[in-house]
Amino acid sequence: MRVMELDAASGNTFAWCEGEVAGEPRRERLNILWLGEVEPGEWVYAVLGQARERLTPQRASEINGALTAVTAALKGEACLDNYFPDLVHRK
Amino acid sequence: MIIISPIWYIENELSLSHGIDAGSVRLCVRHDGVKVIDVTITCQRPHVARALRGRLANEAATLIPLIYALCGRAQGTAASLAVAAARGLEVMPELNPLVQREVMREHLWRWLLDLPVLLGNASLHKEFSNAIRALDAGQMDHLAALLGAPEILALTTAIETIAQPPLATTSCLQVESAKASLAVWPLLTDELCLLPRWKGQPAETGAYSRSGTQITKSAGAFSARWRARLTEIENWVAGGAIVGAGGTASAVPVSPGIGRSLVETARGLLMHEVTLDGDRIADYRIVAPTEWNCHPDGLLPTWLMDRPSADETALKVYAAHAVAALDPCVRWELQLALEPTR
Repeated sequence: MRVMELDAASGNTFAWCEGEVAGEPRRERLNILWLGEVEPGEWVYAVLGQARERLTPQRASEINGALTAVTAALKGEACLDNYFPDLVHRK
Repeated sequence: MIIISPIWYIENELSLSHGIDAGSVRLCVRHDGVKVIDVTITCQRPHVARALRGRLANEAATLIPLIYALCGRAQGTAASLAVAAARGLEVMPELNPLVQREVMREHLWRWLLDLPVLLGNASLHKEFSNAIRALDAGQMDHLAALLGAPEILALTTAIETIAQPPLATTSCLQVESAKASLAVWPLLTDELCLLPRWKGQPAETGAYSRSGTQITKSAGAFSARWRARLTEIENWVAGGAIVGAGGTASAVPVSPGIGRSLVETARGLLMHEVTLDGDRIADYRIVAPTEWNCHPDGLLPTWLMDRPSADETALKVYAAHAVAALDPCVRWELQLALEPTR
């Protein structure tokens, strides 16, 4: 997700972030203490309401592709190569 | 992007999150207005093998932490070791510093951010930030001082006062290494992944289990689990962590093309087993700590059965404390159903 603004009311321990889930836009208030400080515009990996990892835009794009592929696989789709060809090689 | 929100008290069936779902633990608790009469626990997880079959073996270490995002370092380590073991490498149990740090971060998060809220207080944000800075900088003296602060001591006292079962003898998972695990489980099976058993019964894993249950300062079942996490941090800070503690990792070739790894994560023992077909993954199995700790026949139903239920709010709080003591790595949901005695 992309950090949009720090939540000043929380003492900047939370930030409003935006991303996309299954093609739908999503806005969520994430706890950012795991990362220390984040800046608006940064990309982060979000789980359980927490920002867990700082990402480059490229890495965020790759992860989105990988997660979409995993979702497709879990739904029974057989061929996944188009989703994340660069995930490993660019890491 | 994966987005999973913690859900504390849910009384109705609800749909799962959008996109990929890392799973959930569902507690369905039936009571008759006087006490709990039935507890059903369902631990749901995606079948990662479906997503991994046919992928290049080296991709496992990248993909798996995306699916199991908490303890990502431990998951990535387990994946790398399992693949290496499938190619013939054996790794004797050793402490992995990166996984150790992740374990300590997780424990600190639980103690400084989650536990205060669970006890009705504000999270210790400043203390957590200071602790993480000290951890990252390797300032053990500073971290030790933070752990001895009055706020921490107050939490250790408060956690003893909550409603909880008395500390009782339980089955604690004790598997020393990946090599030793072969005698217990020659191969990891689908059934083991879903409903793991050790010596024929469910078993607990995690800091409490690793401690050898020598948490003599606690009289309560919940507080003992919390104290075990704190003790593990204190041992690490003091330089006293030994093989077997959080962060321990090992791997063993199971047979040509099949490798297994074991990693002690914050929440307990993580096992990976990969079957390779050349450079590609033919099959993959993961036995994660939450499946042990939230087993349908494990501690949670034991703790919840017969619990007074006239005050539903108190029951919900008790259930939250029970789940928090075991610390599942996925969101959890509670469904309460009142079935008055006819």
